[in-house]
Amino acid sequence: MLLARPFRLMAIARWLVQRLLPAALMAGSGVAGATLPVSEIAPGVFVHQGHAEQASADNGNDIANAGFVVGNECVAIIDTLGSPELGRQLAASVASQTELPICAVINTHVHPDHLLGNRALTGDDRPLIGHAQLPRALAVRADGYLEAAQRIYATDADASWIVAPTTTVADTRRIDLGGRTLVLEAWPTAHSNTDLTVFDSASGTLWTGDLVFLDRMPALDGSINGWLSVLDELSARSDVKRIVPGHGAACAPWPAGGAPLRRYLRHLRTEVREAIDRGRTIEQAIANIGYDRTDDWPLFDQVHRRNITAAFAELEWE
Amino acid sequence: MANHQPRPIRRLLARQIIAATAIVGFLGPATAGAATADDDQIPESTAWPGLKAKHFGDRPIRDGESVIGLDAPYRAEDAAIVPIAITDKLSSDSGRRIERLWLVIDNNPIPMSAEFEFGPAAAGADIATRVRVNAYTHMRAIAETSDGQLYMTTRYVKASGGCSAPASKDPDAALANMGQIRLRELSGSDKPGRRIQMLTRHPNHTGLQMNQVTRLHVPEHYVNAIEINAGDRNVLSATMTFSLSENPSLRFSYQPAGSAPLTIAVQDTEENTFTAEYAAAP
Repeated sequence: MLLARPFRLMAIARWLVQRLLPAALMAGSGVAGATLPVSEIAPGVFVHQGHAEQASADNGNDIANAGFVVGNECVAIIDTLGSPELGRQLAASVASQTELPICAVINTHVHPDHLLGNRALTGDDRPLIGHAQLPRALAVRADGYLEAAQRIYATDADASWIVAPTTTVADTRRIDLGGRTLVLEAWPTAHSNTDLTVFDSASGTLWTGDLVFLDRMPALDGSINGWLSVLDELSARSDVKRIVPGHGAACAPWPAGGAPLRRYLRHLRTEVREAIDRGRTIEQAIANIGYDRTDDWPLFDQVHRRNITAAFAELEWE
Repeated sequence: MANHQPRPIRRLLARQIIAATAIVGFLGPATAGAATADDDQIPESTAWPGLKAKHFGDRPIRDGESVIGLDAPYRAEDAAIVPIAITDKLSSDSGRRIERLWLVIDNNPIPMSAEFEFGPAAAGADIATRVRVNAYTHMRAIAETSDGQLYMTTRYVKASGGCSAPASKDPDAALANMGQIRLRELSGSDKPGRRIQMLTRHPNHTGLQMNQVTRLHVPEHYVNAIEINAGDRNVLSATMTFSLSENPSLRFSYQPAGSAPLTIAVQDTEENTFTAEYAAAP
């Protein structure tokens, strides 16, 4: 027992450093060396789970999931989170788990909570990879993202935060991490028009980006028909054992993990189509549709009206 | 069908520029625009004094709450698609009508977002559309009545959270089907005339300067004029900017005359013209 005490103290100290210190630093100025908490959901697959919240000064836009996959020779980072500081902390988390170099950084889509850490993770030795549509989509949204960042969580946000992929994927691409291959797949317009999934066949893990939301209200910024058909296709895949969603739990079984999202999107589509058929306007649809079916999604109210708007503007062309 | 040909839109634009010049020349004592501020936190618009001087000169602009309504969401959940509705509040026995409407979004790149001129076949000056909102902004509907008075109704719109941007969701799909026009009649109006929604497939690109980082340049390309006639009578002529959302939507009311169809001509900044006809059910 006497011998055990120093170890226990060390364990407590380590726990403090790993858990409390990064959290304290994230909320504050961000001191060099801070890491983000990550969990190893499968051998060599590490996930950082963001807060199930909207971006705020308190959470510093740490609201999405991101992480990395470790091969025998190098590491791929999947998504870079919502600020250069968070990206830097993610790189520090990689260094805390392995000495292998980072050989690829992947953006699953254009949204700011997933890629504004790019600046901290770029380097000549590694490609920054995204969907073929991503550079243009980011360019046209950049001003809006920076305006929101300055207003909500980072007064120092400036144009240097906008770093677009230099390597793009129009269909599929393989990345060899040494004894471990990632398959990147670019999708037609679904959650957004820049969705890219990353499949690690070694563990049967699919990083879906925001093609899947768990425990956080899904936001439609692409095509509701496209999104449902991509989810149909992904749900039929037997090689996918689990997913890492863009928001919510660090991982979930597949296809069960996609069921709440598909149910929400199908209800939304049915009701918006009905409103259009009855000659309703977009304002009437926004005021009336779907509030009885919240499915207990956190942040329901904030995002649901936006989803109705986007779905209506798409489905009225059917 | 009637053998009416819509007026060339280019000539229409020239005519409106002349009209705008005439407005600037009409001088009168200035009065402050009346903003509807039921929330103390709504800031003054720094842009409006300059915009007013530029577009309306010294013409007095009166509080418009009894003449013109403006429905806009206080919070724009989707910055790319903010539905707004302008309603004509003049009663038919007032002896006046609204002849022209302007939509101003103070903090958009081109604040003067749309101008509507109503012809004899219009059934009131009710207009609804969807706009992009770049930032927290005042939004204004300004009406000119047949006795030459200006009235303004103002709303304040807050942009949404961090993920929402006033950008197209699927510009390639819009471009691939560019020029499709869809018309449908809406039900449930308690006003005279027929209520129509028109949609035009168009990416409505805002244009983007060369970005140092991305090396991308997207030229501006948007719908900038719409003319609608019922037979040989004009319903409305409008000019607009990329403040209107991708796939621009317009709701308006018109007074049908006999069996003459509604004819629509839409023009964009690359001088494409798209046309459509709508034969109202009897």
